[in-house]
Amino acid sequence: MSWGAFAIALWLAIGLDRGIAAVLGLGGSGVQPSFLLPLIVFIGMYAPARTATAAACIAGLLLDLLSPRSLPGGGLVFVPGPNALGLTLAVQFVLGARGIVLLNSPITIVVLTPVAGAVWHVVATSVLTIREFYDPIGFEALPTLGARVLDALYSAITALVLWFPLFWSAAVFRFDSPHVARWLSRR
Amino acid sequence: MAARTGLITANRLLAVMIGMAAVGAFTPARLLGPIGHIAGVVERLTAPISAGSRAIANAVMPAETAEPPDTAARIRELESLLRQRDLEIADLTERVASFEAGAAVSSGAMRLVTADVVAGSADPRGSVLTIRAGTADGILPGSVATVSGPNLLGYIEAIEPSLARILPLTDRNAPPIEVIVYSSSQDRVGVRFDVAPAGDGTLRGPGMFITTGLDQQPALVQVGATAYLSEASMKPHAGLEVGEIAAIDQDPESPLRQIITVRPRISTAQVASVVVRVPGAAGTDR
Repeated sequence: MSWGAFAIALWLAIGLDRGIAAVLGLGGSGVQPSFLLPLIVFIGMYAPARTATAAACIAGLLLDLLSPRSLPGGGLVFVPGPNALGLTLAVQFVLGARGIVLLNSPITIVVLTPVAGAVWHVVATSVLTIREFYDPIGFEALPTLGARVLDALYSAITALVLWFPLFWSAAVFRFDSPHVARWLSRR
Repeated sequence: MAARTGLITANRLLAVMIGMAAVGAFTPARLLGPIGHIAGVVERLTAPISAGSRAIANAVMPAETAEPPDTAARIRELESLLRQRDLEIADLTERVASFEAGAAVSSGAMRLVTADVVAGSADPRGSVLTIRAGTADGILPGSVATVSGPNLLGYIEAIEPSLARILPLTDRNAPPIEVIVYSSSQDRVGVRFDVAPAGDGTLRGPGMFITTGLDQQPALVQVGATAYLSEASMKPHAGLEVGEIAAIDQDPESPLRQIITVRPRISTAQVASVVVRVPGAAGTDR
């Protein structure tokens, strides 16, 4: 996989998540889609397993470094890890599923994105909940997890929208995994 | 690219990366201070695309800006100024008493800095906003951010040379504050409430029980009334609008005391620019 192409796609996806996603929120519920999640699912569908895992971990770490969390006594902290671990495990789900799905169908990414998102958020929420036992930062697991799962469901729409530019730019990513040749050659 | 054999291999690099993420995830917050510097670098690298996409979003769906957008908001701003003047008069009275007692008092000067919002938190559930202004622009600890005129958005929590972060006043970990609610435009005293973030985008808390008039009627506030920041919470910023009362309950232990729920008029999701109020430094930087 071309890491340069991934870096540019990651930069764009994170920028869209931080700039536009909030505007696309559903009313006052705060439920908003993710542009990064479909990208990670896409990478998981086509890239070699180790490359996809590394890409997800890097994306998660960047996400953690862009997510300041407030502390009860005042101040902000950056916790590197919850999203990194969450996305790393989410991409493992995609790696496991990609052998039994049609990789050149937009329906695949639409279905995989919410499930991978649920895995990501369950892991990230679990990590932050465990932290609460010895280093409380005022994190509440249940409402957060519920909202995050709704975010993941909503992300199915962005996955459908992003599928077409991602699929047609697959050549730029130069995926060299053996399983992709027969799928990408059918475009 | 890492070699396939030898001490440093791709597999080992990946394992180290995941291991570091696992360690970082469970490291106590007090040890994570240096991570903030790395986060600052990542923030600056992603700021152009974040700001660009936010500008596009704001163009499609108009967002709240630093200035009041219409006449109604202008009227609210003037009402807020009136409340600020009332609190300043009370403050000056107190200062006179302090001078008479020989005590030192601080300057009430205020510097206003307009700044664009670069990005929200990357975490969908995060509420912290990043603005393009920092110590280089004169922003100091103790500053607050306002939007659409007098609406208090939040507190400046972390300041870098060119960036600062705003902790919204409704964030779960934001400090409790005292607000004043006036029962009418002629009311110069108001009722004070101690409110704290409820975690659902509102602030909630009980008020004092006071009576007015010769018949000692309890002073009660109404749903829809505006809550203003009191001088007891942040003296330099007293009089700013915190929000409007969305609901009123009765204190079960003291039925004559009201418990109010205040909802800010501004959503943090759609803010394009803010005015940072820097106490102790006069001037305007727009």
